[in-house]
Amino acid sequence: MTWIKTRKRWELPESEVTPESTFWSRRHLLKTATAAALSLGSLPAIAATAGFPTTRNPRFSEEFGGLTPEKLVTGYNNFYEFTTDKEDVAQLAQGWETEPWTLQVEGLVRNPFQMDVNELVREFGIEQRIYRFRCVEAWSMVVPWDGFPLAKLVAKADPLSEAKYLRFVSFMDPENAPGFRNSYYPWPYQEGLRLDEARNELSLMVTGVFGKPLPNQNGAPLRLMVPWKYGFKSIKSIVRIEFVQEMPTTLWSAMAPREYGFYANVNPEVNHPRWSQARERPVGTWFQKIDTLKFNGYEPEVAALYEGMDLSRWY
Amino acid sequence: MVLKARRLWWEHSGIWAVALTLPVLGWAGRFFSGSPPANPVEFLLIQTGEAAVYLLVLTLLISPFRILLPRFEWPRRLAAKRRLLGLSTFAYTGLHFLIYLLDRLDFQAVLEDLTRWFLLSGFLAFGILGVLALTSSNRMIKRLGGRRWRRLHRVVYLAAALAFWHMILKEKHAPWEALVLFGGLSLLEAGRVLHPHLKPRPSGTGSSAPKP
Repeated sequence: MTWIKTRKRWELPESEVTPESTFWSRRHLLKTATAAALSLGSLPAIAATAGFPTTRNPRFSEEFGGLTPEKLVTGYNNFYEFTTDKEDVAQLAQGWETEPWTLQVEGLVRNPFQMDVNELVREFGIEQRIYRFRCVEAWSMVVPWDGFPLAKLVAKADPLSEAKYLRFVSFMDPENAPGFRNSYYPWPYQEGLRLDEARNELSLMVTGVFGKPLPNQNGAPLRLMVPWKYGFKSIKSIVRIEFVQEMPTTLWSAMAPREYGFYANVNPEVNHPRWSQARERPVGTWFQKIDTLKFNGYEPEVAALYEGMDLSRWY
Repeated sequence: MVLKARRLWWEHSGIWAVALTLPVLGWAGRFFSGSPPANPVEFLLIQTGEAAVYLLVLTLLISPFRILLPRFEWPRRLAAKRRLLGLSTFAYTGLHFLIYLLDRLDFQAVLEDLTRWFLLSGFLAFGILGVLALTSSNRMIKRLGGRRWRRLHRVVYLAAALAFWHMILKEKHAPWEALVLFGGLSLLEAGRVLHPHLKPRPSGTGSSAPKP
């Protein structure tokens, strides 16, 4: 059923999409008015600008039910470092400086290194891939990300045999991101992957979306994208990657271990304790939920990673 | 008690009709604005749910205020609007429930939802408010009699507890809003119960049942 292509109401033809220049000029009008009042008129600095334009990798060019409109991808974001209101993140994150941005790679590796994000992009090159994106809150998107395989970074770091996991750490900047005031959360945001998950060809280090550098609200300048896992695994604005021996603690598994596990693989058969994960609502649609697929539709690519594991136990 | 005093500006029904439909107008405005909600169903579920909860708490606050502030006139005047507020609470709850149903459109899924406290608490609160709404007409009050009517309508506190729980379970993060809303209400209710001037009402002719 999923494979019969019917036009959804959110599948706008390209002709109906607001030209970006119109969109930004509206924005700009509002912003210059505000800026004049506040007299701080700098446009947000976007850090990782290297590598654009990108070309689409033909192996990841399927558009599934159709791409989610860019306006929704960049206007509906879970980024608690700014606010818990998904539609307010874009505005609050505007003007946040992500330039320059250094990624630190350390831990159980032969080659620890520190590198500017643009340098990383120049070394590895970036490409565009369309991925399905499924949030644990049961909404979903289809998004063209621009980035490089995490496997390349892992190879460069050259992990020692004791290294079993990767710990990802996000930024910490309470002065410029109001969400840090919410001390309910053990900041900074942390996530983790098993080494073999990190080496999987789907794991992408993302610096752009829709062929342009990542807007702040989408996790500029460097984020993870692991499309077979719930969205919260794809940590934003990464400053450090550490190779470790033990399974790292993640922010959500520390907050609510019974609800958010380390693996967080998309799985319609394993429900969230408070709601069903069997279906999902594509962002921008009304009452047209679609079935959620095991591993978010990436079963052929990743199922082998979890062979023999009880997925209802290792959720 | 009958207040013969002049009607105050805020007592006019027109003002209440407008105020109670303002949320709906606000949401409609959002849909016709340049940035409609990205996830309209989620937006409407949250908005109708919040409107219902705020109205419920407001409705329930009137009695404690009336008892704790006996020297003030406005709580007594406000009490005359309690039925309207209660029915509006039910209306927003109904809207909330309807959107939920449209989102499921699947009997099997609804049944499965009933096995989860998050959704079951909502179902039960909705059911209770429905019974209360159905028994709020003058005719029903007369038929039940003030005393029985009041006893029945005390289950609204159960609905409030369920709504509170529903709201707590909804949150992925700290349920501050629910704690402030219902914490405040509980404090005032405690004050009302412990209030030294509070005397048990003479049975039969309760003042809390609206006069038919």
